[in-house]
Amino acid sequence: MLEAILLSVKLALLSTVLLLFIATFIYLVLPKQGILQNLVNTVMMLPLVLPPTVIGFYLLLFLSPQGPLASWQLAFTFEGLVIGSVIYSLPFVYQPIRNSIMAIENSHYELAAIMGAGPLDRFFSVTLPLARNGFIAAAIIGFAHTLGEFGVILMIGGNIPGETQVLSVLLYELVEVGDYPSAHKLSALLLLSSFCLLLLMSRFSESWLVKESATPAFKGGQN
Amino acid sequence: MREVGTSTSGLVLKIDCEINSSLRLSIDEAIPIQGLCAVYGESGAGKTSLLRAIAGLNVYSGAYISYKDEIWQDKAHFKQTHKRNLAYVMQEANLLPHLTAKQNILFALKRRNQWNKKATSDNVEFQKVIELMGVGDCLDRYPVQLSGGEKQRVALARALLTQPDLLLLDEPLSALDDNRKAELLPYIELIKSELQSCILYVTHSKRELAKLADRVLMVEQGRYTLSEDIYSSLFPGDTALAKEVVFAAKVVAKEPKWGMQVLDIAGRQLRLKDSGERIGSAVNLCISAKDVSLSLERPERSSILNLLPATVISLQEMPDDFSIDVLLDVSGQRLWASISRFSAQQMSLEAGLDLWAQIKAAAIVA
Repeated sequence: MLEAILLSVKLALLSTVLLLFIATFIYLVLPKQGILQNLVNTVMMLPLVLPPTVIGFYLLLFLSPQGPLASWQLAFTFEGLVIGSVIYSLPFVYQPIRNSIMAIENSHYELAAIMGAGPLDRFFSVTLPLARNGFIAAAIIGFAHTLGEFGVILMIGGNIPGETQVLSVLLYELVEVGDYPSAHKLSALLLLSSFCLLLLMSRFSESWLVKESATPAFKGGQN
Repeated sequence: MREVGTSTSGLVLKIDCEINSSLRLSIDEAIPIQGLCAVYGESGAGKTSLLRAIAGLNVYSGAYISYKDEIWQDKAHFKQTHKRNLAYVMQEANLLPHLTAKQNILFALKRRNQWNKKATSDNVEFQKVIELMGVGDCLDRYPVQLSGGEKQRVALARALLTQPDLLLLDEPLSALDDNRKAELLPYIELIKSELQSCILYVTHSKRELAKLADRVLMVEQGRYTLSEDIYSSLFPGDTALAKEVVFAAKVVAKEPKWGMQVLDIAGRQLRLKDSGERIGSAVNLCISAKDVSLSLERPERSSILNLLPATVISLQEMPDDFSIDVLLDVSGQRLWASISRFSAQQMSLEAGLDLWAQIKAAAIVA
């Protein structure tokens, strides 16, 4: 069981770090309006409504020995799980990051520019510190969501101890074989850790509720 | 008109652009580098738009902006805000909320000191400016922990320390109440004397203007004209702007029992509410036309204490058809009184008439 716990934590940590970079990058390069923005946003939101098994199925097709990415040999590996997790948790991480960056008043960017800060400088000296809570909330929800993932993992990772057998999959197996005492322990552990993570997140997540504001008129504002 | 690119030095502004459906910004002037140029006009006349264009925050197509022959904007070039060596203090929100006052100042110094190597937090220059602006106690606090006046002083200290070529002040005192304003005005004067660069100062207070400006950029409905003669621009005979005059006065006595003080204006004494000035100190007294009423005879037992003998210079009918502005001569100084046409007719006012001006209220400005 310890092996599965460690594997889950490793998967969640790695996915979270990747997600923070990917989500921020997508927000920064994505146009702030127009058809492209709508399309990309819609694609990214798909995991919110699709059954995880659908995502898992398509990923499996892509990664399987007959699929287009077969040469990467990612099906039923830990790396494959990371890819699946990143795709599956992206909307959950992207939203708080996007909301918290959008909530930053344009006047702060103008002020930084007046004080001599260029676009990249403004990202590090204004965007990151002012959107800090959004990033923390995004990291927590990304971690918790990856920890609780089941369908995608089962589809593309299977159930290989030490490689792809994470907590949720192990739990499923324990129930299958009728090992209820172990299943109790594992469920309680997941319940408690999820509760703690969500409680922690509520401290940072006010920016979740911030309504979308208009696109900044100031040209250098978005980054 | 100067040819584009051939003018030497100064801030050259050529903009002719529609800001919105009701306002067209139009300017073609070169502002000399030395001294403080006030930008004066009513709210909504496009003053902030002009400053934002100069700072590169608003982009108006077809505009030409250059400073000391360095082109900031023309058809082919656009120098971004962070590359223009300027400082800009707005009405409020001049500090980044996640940095302390000191960090805010250093933020600008670190990035602007390619122009000014001297300024760091521990040198004499820094200490001197911090002391001048009276912000020593604020340095380690965050903006939310500072009062409005303190925030503006920190922003002004930062502007002074970065030694910009061009300082844009957009009504930096407007968010403050009158007492705070009077407190901060001397700091602006200090900046003017410390900083040897062009200062554009937006205001719609004639008091501030009369005290600070070397020249004035008047704006009416987006149309700008530069004038070196402040007084005739400020108090022209023919505009309907609020007519205020500033008298030089001196505090001569206090009457603590009544909470009043006695001021001397050209040999005449006025009694005003004691606002804490020292006896013997020179003050400017601002009297606006609406606070002056007229009487043909010296009124006895009136609640209005302050009477000045005056002579009518001219009468000016206001466009509203009911009121009339009277220009008076008070021992050689001008004073405006705004009265109704009815009263004017009752009193048979005409140029040359001697009468009494009753001052209902006057404000001491720094």
